[in-house]
Amino acid sequence: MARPQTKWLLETTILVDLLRGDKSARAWVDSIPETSRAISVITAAELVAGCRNRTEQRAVEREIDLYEMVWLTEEISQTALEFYKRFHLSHGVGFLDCMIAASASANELRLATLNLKHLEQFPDLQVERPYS
Amino acid sequence: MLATKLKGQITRDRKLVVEIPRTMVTGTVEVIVLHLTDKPAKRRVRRGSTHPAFGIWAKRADLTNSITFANELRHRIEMRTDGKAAN
Repeated sequence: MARPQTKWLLETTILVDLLRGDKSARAWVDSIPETSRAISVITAAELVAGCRNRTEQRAVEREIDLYEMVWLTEEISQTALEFYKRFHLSHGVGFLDCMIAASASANELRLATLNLKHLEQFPDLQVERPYS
Repeated sequence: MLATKLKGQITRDRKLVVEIPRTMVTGTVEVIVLHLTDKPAKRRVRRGSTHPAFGIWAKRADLTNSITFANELRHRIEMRTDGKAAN
């Protein structure tokens, strides 16, 4: 369960689990104070991209509204580009992975994901798979 | 001891709201709460309301693995194939 006063950036896989009705995901998210839950605008866009109709999208929009949104800043963009230059060829990471990693890094957020493989190579980033 | 019967409301944030008549003497009082209903109102549990989108993708045939699906969504946006609008 979440440590007290730890602020988390919830990566897309966690939100997808939640939307799939995964009880472990929900229990873990609910164990974090609401003010300590954040998502990247990238994750928000990905969830919207996954909607098949307006009804789903409205529900997803209401869900997104519950989290603090981490917008892309100049600092995040620069860090993401540095990550991309450094890890694109060696690890095959995508630029949006870099954007999410940079969003967590710039805001000193702990990153929660199911996809450790894509995100654990970034330097100084605290990445965790919070439940199994 | 001076006793006066007043009616009030216990609010959701657990405060007692009582309107005091102007004729009442000011000073420290003791409050005894008698519920007018037999049982205190049940606390309403709004299941699912904390996550409006919880489970909305539970029956998707194209979603069997969250990591794979999230990768696909990311790929769609990176490849700019997420839009469906006609050219």
